[in-house]
Amino acid sequence: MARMWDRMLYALWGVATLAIGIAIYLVFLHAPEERVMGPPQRIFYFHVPIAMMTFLAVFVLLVGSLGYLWTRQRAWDDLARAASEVGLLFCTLVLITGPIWAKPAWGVWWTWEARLTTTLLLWLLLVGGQMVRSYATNRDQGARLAAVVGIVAALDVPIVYKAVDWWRGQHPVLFRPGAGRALAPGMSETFSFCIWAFALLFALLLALRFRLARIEDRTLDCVERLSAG
Amino acid sequence: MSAPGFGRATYEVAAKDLRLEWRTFESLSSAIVFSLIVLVLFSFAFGFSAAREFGVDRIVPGVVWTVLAFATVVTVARSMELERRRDTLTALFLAPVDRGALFAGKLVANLVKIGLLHGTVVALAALFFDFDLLEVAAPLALVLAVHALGLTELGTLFAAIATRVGRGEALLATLLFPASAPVFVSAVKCTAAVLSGRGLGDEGRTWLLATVGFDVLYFLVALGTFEFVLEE
Amino acid sequence: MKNYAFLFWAYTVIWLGLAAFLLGSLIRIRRLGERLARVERELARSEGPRAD
Repeated sequence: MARMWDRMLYALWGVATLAIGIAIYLVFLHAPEERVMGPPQRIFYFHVPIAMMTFLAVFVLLVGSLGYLWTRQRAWDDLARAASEVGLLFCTLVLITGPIWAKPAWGVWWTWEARLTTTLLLWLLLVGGQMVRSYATNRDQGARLAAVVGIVAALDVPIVYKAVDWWRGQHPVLFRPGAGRALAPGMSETFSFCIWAFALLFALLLALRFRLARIEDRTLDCVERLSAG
Repeated sequence: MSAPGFGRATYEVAAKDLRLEWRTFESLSSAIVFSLIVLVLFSFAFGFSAAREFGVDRIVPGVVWTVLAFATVVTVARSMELERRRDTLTALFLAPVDRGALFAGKLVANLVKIGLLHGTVVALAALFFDFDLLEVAAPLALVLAVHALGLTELGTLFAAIATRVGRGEALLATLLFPASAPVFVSAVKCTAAVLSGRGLGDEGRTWLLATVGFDVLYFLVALGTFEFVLEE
Repeated sequence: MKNYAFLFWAYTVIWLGLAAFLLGSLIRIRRLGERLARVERELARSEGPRAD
């Protein structure tokens, strides 16, 4: 059984690496240069998929948190933990690459528009969840409390997005790559492919982190039994 | 012999909390003093002349709600901390009552304190920034009530979490502010609308309704998850 | 040419971030796996002799 999971993990690794490789080729050699923004526009091909995966991570976090509170089985918490960490990683990458893209493209490092603000708040919530987990006095408590925070955070994300969106009112929407107008032919398939490539990468990192969490759990279980017996 | 019902349990928990507060008045008084200090700080930061210049509805809502946000954190954290010190949380948890009632009771007690706090802060703001409170009292009260509920709900839940891991206001603020950002945004918008003298308006009413939805959602979420927080 | 600087830094950040996470995870998995094996052996030894 374990052998099968191992093989699947290796397969995933191979496919993900291949996909990323192709993605890089597409982004730099296949996609045409954007007339207005020039080279920096290519950041968008990675930045947006990474942002999408961040929100996927939040969804997985929600599922894991609910699952743990419902069943109290450690595996659900491990899933939540993995999703929280990978989500935090991707969220950090979004927040760093965003301004790097925005500066040459629109002249500002930051603006309080819906997506950016939501991502920033999400980052804070994920960090808060990690803090709660690390402050907890034992594993169970950490898992329980982190699950509650995770649920609140996950449900909040769409609400925050809508709220900031309304808050902005009639302001011109700056960051809408291809909204309304379709992407140029060379660009759209590159973009679509990148989404899948990063989805695979996300799955890989999630699986790895989950495996790590499972091993940690088993180790701690054994240690507990050792000190008890 | 049946366990107390939801309503009764809620009442008991809230009453115990408020009775304690009534005797000592400690958490409310320190929260009010804290709010006053922060309000003064903002006056230095922005100045009266600025408020007059830009219009009351531009600066005052933001200032007031920032003060209220911090004061809420302080109040709610203190309220939970008391439980922890006297270890009454565990005692409550062992009692055969609906866990949700424990949350509801705590929430009601906090709401009473927060309500008094908000009233005081708004009155002080009216004084410092020179706007007519009586004129806008009714719609403002509604705005305060709806948004205070949202802040207090999440505040109570997160305060329980923070207390459980032995941390205080810092962790509470880290969790509460991002999570309740929609409420904060709505609060400032609605308050600005009311203070501008034009009343809530369509936009304000939409925000208010949305916040009511938020309040209902998170009331249910907190009700369901509180027992997991209280567990030993 | 300056524009390429932004592009470069953005991609560098992404790859460094992902690589760090990946490598970190792999190293931890290996180390923990070894620790787990050790602990399991100890456990087997301490629980083995008992005839229950």
